[in-house]
Amino acid sequence: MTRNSVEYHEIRLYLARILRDWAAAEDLVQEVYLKWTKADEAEIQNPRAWRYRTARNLALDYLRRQKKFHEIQDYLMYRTTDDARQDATPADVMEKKEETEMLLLQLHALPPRQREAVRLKFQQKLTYDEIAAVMGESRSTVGWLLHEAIRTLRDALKKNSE
Amino acid sequence: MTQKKEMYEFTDDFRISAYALGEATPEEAAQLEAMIAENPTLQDEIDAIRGFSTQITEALENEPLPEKPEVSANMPKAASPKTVRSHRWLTVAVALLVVLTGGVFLFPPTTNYRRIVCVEAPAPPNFSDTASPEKEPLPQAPERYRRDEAKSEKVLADPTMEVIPMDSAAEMPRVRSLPVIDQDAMPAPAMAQAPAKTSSDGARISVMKAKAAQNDAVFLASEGAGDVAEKNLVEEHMDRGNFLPEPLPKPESKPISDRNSYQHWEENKFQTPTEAPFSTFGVDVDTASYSFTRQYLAEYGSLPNPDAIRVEEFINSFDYDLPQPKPDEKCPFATSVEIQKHPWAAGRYMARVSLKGREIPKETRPPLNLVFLLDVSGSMSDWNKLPLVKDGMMRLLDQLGEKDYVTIVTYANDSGVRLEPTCGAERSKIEKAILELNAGGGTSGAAGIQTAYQAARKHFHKESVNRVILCTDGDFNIGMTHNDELEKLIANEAKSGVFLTVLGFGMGNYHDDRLQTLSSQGNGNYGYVDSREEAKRLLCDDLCGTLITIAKDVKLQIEFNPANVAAYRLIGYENRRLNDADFHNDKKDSGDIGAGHCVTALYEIVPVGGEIPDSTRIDSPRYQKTEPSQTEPQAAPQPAEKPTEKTDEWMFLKLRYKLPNENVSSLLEIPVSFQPEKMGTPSANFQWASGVALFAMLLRHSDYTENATFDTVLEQIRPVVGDDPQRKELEALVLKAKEL
Repeated sequence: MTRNSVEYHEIRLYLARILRDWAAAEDLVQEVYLKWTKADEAEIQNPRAWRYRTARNLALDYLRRQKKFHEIQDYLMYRTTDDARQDATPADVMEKKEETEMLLLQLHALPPRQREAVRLKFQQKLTYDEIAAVMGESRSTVGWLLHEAIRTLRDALKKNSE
Repeated sequence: MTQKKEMYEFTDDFRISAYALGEATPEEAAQLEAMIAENPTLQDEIDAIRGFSTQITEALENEPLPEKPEVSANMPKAASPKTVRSHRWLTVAVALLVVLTGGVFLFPPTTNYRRIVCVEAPAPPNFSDTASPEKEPLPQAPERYRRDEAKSEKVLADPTMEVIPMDSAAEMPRVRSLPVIDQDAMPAPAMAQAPAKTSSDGARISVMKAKAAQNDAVFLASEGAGDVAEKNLVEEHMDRGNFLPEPLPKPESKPISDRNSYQHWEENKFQTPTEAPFSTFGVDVDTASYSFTRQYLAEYGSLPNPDAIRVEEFINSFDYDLPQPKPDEKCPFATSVEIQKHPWAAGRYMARVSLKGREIPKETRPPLNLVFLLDVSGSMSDWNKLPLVKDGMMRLLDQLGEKDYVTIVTYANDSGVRLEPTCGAERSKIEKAILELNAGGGTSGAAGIQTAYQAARKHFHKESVNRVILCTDGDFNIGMTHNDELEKLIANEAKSGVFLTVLGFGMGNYHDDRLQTLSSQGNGNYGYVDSREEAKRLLCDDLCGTLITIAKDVKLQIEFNPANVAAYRLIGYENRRLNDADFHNDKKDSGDIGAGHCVTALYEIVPVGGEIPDSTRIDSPRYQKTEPSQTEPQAAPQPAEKPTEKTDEWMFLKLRYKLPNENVSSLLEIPVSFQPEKMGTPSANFQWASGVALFAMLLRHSDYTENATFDTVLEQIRPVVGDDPQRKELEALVLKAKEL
């Protein structure tokens, strides 16, 4: 719960990716932990998922208030802001690690909920149950989303290497 | 993705990847190990998934991040507040303006006005929870208002936000700040008034309406902010309940709660015949609430939001062994009434009023002209959505013949006619079209529903059943951004003979309230499909019931005799209540009955001399000329031809219905006599219906369950379960609910 805790940084990073704004991420992560101090801990089964969920909702609220609809859509679409990459020529892309690029591109092409599930699992390292709590879905839906996503991504990689 | 003939076989079993990622439950792990033993190549697959997992993790770790600011964190913040604040000023000003002027339109006083309100599941209980000091901002709120009048946007900010100097202080009033605002004073004073405590029920409604106003305000305020896509995004996000009250209530115990929206209806209270002689409501054979609850309990192992429970839908989800109307009778349903001892409240009676619709055997059914309007947006790709739709359609296909026509229209990013109206005999063509259906894309379709109705017109016949069947998970936008426009279209089409059935699928983004309204406007029914069995039941076994309306706009008006009845209470049908005057008004839309359907309404009755439970009882006015004295119950003003000497009459039933192709209703009048000393034993139907009603009332946290528990329900229903698998299923649900 302190500033130095690993989770604090994880959530801050998570927010930064959504908001594309480190300052706002810093503010909101503090708020997450402030809310946590006021929350009734006895009633919360999974504190980590609770904090992630709070962060996610605060981020979406924030984006909506700022009328950053594109960011909201991007959050759901998770586009990156790497301008350099946007200007990258196909040749440049080839020079970088191809598979990583391929994966990330395919990731962006996934349906939004599969994408979010993949991020929460492989980027934020949450468990199925935690992801279910954060996304507001059932555990089996999360399992299905990830299963489908993995299959699509693997298929894409296979096709690429052919 | 390859086409799968067997929609439901999990050859793509998510448990495989769960196991590979170390996320399998012990049961799943055991199952997987058994599967590996049977099929050793599965192990290779699992290893491959694990390898892939490492790959994707690495890729995501290397994903480029947004640029970190090089200056200190404070500077960027300083830059933004000014511009944002001025922007927000305008928005709030507009919002206020809208609220002030819109207040008139938002809260009309008619009782049958249905306000669509987004409710998050945990919100109502929270209001009684806000007593704890650390979460209680209310005492501080008034002071904040007075101190900070210039900054109206901060007025409603939660005090906890003050600690962090940031702009995310609530621009929109947080739900908690508004809990007890008097509804009439809603506009401007709402912002500056000190909240006064009212009953929590009143608070809930005020909050919901206030919230609805705010939602509307934001919606309208943001209209200037962007194009339709943005507006829908905001609406979408608000509907999803991302706008949560603080503190965040237990998200993990009810994972999907804040995405569903339900209407909140105050439970019916006891009324005396002197103050309210008539009980008027429209019938309802929708069964969605029961399916939904069943699915919720089965999948999440917890109880759903009480607002999702409609008692009458529970009761009407079952078959009852009641006599059919005679074949030569004009009226397509048979009425039966039964009054028995109240199963769980001493000193009271319970009346069962049932309407049993005429069954139409499948062999003699009219030809079908069906248009499936399918939501194929990305969210429908879940296993419990589009695949189930396809499954249901395939089953329906088995029932179709050469006189029937099927059309498939989809809406999503690209909407259109996927299958032109095709004769039921061309089975393979239809099958192919069904199998090729795929979900994907956004939810902004265009003109989907109009296309559907046009398609229905192509093979329209007066004798056919012409119907549009909308299948969706509620997260839809079918070319009309306002509910009213959509409702008008649907109502118009229904008038000219094309009815609408709505089938809901999946959880999570399920807009129950909206879907129910649409089907009601469309003279159709509203079902929720949670499983293959339910799909089979709705589209195959009960095909005629689902698709063939035998009576429309069916209304009931029951008058109670004050000589015998001290008070009565209608169980359920809260959102079907009609004004007494609407009973004779044929222009007022009401519910419909399908072939073979049975509709049951239960009344709790307190006999004269018994104790009336509610403390909201009003004394008869002392000064009104037409009213009786306070102490003696007297007859309510009655027409001359119904004298109160008929002391064995307890109720007078009046029914209005229209045959499907009529626009003028017919009236049925049935007096109901009852002699308590000659009361028989309760019929099986009575016992089942009342048991189910009690179950639903318990789930809904009704005030009228007295001392009854789930055990009482079991006592009531167990003797009459019989062999019916549906009834057995309910018994299992009660047991499950009891454990929670």
